[in-house]
Amino acid sequence: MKEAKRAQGVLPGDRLAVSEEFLPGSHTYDSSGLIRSLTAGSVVKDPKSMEISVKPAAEPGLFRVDDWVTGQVEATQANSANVHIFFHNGKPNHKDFSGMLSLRGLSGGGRGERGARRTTPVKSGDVVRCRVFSLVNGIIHLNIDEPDMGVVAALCGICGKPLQKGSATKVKCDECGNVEDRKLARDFGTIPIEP
Amino acid sequence: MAKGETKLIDEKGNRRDGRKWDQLRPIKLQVGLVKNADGSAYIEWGKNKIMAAVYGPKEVHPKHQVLADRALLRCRYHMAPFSVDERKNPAPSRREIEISKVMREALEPAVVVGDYPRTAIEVWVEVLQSDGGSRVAGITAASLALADAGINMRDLVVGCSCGMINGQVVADLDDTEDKEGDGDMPVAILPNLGLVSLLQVDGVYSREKFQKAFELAIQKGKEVYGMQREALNARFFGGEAKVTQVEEVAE
Amino acid sequence: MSMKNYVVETIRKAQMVQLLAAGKRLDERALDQPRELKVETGVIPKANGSARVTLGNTEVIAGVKVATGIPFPDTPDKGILMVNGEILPMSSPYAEAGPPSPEAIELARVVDRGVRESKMIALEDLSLIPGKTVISVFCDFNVMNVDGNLFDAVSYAVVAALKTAKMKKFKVKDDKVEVTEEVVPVPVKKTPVSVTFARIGERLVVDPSAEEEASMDMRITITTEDGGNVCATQKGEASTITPTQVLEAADIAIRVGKDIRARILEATK
Repeated sequence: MKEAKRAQGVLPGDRLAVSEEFLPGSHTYDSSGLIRSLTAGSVVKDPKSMEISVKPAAEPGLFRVDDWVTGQVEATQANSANVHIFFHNGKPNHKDFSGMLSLRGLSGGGRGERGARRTTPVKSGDVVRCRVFSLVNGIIHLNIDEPDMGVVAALCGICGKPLQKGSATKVKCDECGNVEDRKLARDFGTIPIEP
Repeated sequence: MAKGETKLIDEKGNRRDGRKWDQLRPIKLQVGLVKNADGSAYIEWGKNKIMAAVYGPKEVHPKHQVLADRALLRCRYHMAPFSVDERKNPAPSRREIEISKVMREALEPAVVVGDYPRTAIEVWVEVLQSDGGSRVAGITAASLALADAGINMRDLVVGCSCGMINGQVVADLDDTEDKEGDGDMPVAILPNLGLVSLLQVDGVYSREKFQKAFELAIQKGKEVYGMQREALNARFFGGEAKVTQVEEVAE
Repeated sequence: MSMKNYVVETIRKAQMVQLLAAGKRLDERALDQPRELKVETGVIPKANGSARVTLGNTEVIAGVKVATGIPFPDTPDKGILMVNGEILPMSSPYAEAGPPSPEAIELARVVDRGVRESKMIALEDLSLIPGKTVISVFCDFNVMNVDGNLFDAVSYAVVAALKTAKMKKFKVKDDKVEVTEEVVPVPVKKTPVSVTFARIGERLVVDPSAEEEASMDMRITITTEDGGNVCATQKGEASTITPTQVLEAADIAIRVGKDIRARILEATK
């Protein structure tokens, strides 16, 4: 595809084109036959698709599919966990959002009688790095299937000291000897402050 | 002296501060001063000094206020205790609560709340020093703060207040003209769409003067809109990029 | 005010403690080094006195209002002084609108104590008709942006606003108070300066940033007046401090406070 043509800065409400000329693309809207901008930014015209859109100068930093987030597990159910998000693509995020982490089909942990999980791949209080895989219904759906995703730090459930990596799926406590199961991120325990 | 009796405009049409009947007070706008906020704007309009800041879209607390199909827009207009001649109690007054409500209702038609379901967008407007017309100045700043936060908006929102002093229609009443004049008419508009999103009136107007004051408020609002554009232009395009011109709005 | 992510903070704190053991801070300041302080006065012309203070990225605006009032029954010959304020909801993603939180009230009261106990304003000077009418001085502050150490930023803003406050002179005639057109300064005598420390692990740091506050165990504010005397102190947070550290903090507060006092005096000349 040829490089899209760019024009100068526009502001919310600015008239970009008439709807006979172009189709409204991202960050634009059609108001009685006029295409207007929804944001401050630069105009991008695609002569091939005849779409006119605006590349925003500022964005509210919302989550997108394929972004990664780091947060703390707040509550776990059989097949999902609630993750309070603190970092978004590695940057601190103070918007207080929570995501729903899907634990379905995860190998970590294994199952006991009647299909109940003997252990969970993540536990309440863990810091987990997750992939955003869907935003259906305005809910942030997360998973930790990839090797780089999973628990990055955790505290011992018995004595509260930081857990160390035992094996690929186990963490151990040097203080009290406790061993627990987890779906670990490949770099578990090596992340100092930022995720 | 009773309301309406103070001489606020002389025979030559000069007001106490030297303005003509249709002149605005000096206005200064600056975007992006509150570091923690997602968007912010500061306005000085006459003696008004007002900071507006936006947080969001963010998680809604308490959860039962979540709207499944759109963002919850919250707005607070608040006056600092030292903003007025006599110290104001910091607790929100009935006046501030009402202004917060009409301010939200003036901004929401421009914000595409449907693009941010299940979230909250918070608009905080703090009057640091108050003069006449603080609500329209607050709306003007709040709309810039929303644009600074990158929140989708159908148009900016800009306000201007007109009214009557000594029986004569004038633009942009200051504190004294508001308190001792015959009436005040704050108006906020979506300038490109030619729509009115805030209208309050006090005072007694003939049909002609009602129209004259109302149309003057819209016309002056568009003048302020030009300053809003300059402020956003300075924020986003270094003041250098030529920002496309506004087309005339059909009345 | 801070996020409740216990694990993230525990890990962060472990790092910070390690750094501090080597005498280092995340922002590379010395342990007893405050952030850059800016004091601007007269920012709210409608107020009797006002100041905008930035301490790092923490920003506070304070404004003084002078009026006449009725004295408290137990101090009939003393004026009224009150320091009050709000951590504005715009100042941080964690600040909330509504009635002042216990944290905001503690903040206002600690700053008030420093001003009051230093005898910055001699309340006897504010008496007009004993038992009937006195001058009341209200200093309100607005926290505009939070990046740690509100105690000191608010204290400096309040002190600078009071130091530059002017009022119309009151006159008593035939047992009645009259307002004259003569403008006089609000009678200010001293310049109290607070210095706040956070204890993180074993070490004390001066002027903690928001990041450091998130990891602190204990906070202590020590206010000194011009003579280098301690005039107010407040220990905060659910942890302890050793007596040795209290005295160490007092020494630093006197020394660092002297530099800051010079800055405030310069800005309020």
